[in-house]
Amino acid sequence: MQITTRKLGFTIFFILILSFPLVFAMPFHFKLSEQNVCTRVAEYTMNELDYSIFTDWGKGLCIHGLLDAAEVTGDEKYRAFAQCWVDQSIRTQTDEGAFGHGDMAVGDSTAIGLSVLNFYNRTGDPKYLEAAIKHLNYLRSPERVWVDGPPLIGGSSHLANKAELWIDHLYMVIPFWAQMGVTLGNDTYIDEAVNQIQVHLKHLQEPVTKLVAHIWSETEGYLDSNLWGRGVGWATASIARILGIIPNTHSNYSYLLNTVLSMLASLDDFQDSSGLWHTIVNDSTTYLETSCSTLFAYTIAKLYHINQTWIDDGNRTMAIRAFNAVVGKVDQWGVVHWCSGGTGANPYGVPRADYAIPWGQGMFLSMYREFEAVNWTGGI
Amino acid sequence: MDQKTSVINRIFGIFLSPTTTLKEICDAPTSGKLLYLLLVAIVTILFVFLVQIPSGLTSILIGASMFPQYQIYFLFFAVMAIFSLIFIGLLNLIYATGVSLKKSRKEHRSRKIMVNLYIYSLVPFLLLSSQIPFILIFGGHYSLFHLQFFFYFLLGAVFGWHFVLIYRGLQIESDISPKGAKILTVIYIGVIICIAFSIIYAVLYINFDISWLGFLI
Repeated sequence: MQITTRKLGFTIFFILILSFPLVFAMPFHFKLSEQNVCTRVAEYTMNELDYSIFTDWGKGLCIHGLLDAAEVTGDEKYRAFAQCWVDQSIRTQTDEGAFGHGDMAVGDSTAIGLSVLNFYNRTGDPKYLEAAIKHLNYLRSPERVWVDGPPLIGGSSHLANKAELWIDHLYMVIPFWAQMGVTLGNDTYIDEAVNQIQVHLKHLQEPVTKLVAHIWSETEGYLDSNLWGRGVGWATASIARILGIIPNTHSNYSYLLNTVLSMLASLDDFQDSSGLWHTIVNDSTTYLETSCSTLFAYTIAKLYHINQTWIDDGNRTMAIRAFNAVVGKVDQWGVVHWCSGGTGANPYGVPRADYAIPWGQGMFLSMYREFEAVNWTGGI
Repeated sequence: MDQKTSVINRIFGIFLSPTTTLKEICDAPTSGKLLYLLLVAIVTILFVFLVQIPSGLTSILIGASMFPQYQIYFLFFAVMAIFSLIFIGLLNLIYATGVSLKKSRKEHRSRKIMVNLYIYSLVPFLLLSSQIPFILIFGGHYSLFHLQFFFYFLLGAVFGWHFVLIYRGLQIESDISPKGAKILTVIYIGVIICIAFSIIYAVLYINFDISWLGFLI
């Protein structure tokens, strides 16, 4: 009798914990399915990614993406969430000045820097500016590794212990550096940021296509000479972002603009009929990849947002095709699919991810904001 | 295998009448049962690894390619399952040694502990298996559907069940008093919780890098 009662109790308990989440989730599922793609991605990015685990640059991009989502949707919860993690990156800032926690790459810890400045501009709280200055001093420190030249003249190594130029550095670090120059009214910092772009392109830009390779080592040459799609995207998106930060009277403004436009002209040749690009942009045997396509679409919309005359109809069409293709990769939960994972060993052999990748989520939100700003979200 | 000693009967017995079942298994341990325990532990760990990455299980089931990012809360399950595997592996070794010692007292006690760990490895398995429909239908996105509290409840149920079963198991065929068993269980569960919270605190407040945890998964 006792066993029967226990068996019944156990069965009821099992059925309850089995059915409760199914029943509870149903109304939220219907509500989610009615929301637009930006809100879906933002909800997933905020709720489902674990920010306490992934401590690197992906978090920085997600946080910035959520700030963009707050602008698009007007929903302050994204900003409040972002602020928690920005504050956390300051709380765990190292003695040397690096944001975040436990990240060995110099460049990657900077990825959250623009979000820190965003909250300084919004709140005026000096703790954000003090942390940003501390991080900038860390970036500019002569004790760091400098590539192909003395501190601040040579390239800023992406790694703390090796002399290597990574194209990732352009997006993670340089916009923050330039923005600090504008925020502090210090033209030297702006010049240094532009110089970093020039040094990186000197070693990483491929002369024929004008696109860029991934990594160059001072001692070993090209560690990765592939025209990696996301890497090219880092370069184009970084330059577009910087053109929106620095004054258009800067002596190298035209150089930056011509550089990014020449890259876009080349990318036009490599866009797939689907609207996406291959993970190695000039190798059609590699898979089509979402995050690089997001970055290229972002670049064009950003440039158009800054100055409409820079973007012709061809580029506009290219951007909207990419946007439509990327939106098509977002599922019902708000996961941006088919982004490539990390770029460790055999980076291009790693399959596309069929789950949420932080940089895919974050960049989608940033792209969407720019498309919303130029009123391109309706498609062609 | 007759109805009385069948695997399914034993599994249900552990949840429905743990004390009786524990005694039954203690009375007749065999090498086959020990191998079965090891197998259960391995399967549990594989299952936990899949479930701790909810859409990962979905990905496997629908034939997709990779696991998504792991999540810290699910890590608790993985840690518990890893403990089970390690302990059961060790106890198999102890049991083998016990056989050579001609059924010494040491062997007898090791069998008892082994059975506790057998249950220990099954708890997350059975509880988490109830979540397979949610994982398949809603991708296992607890946070997205505001089910964090349910998830914490599930986590609490796992810990609670561990507490009860370890408390009962410790008293079987031993001279440990109920009070002593309770104290030992509280200490044991307390240590696990303290370790988990220490890791979280270290990550969020003192710049502790836990990227190495990814290698466990």
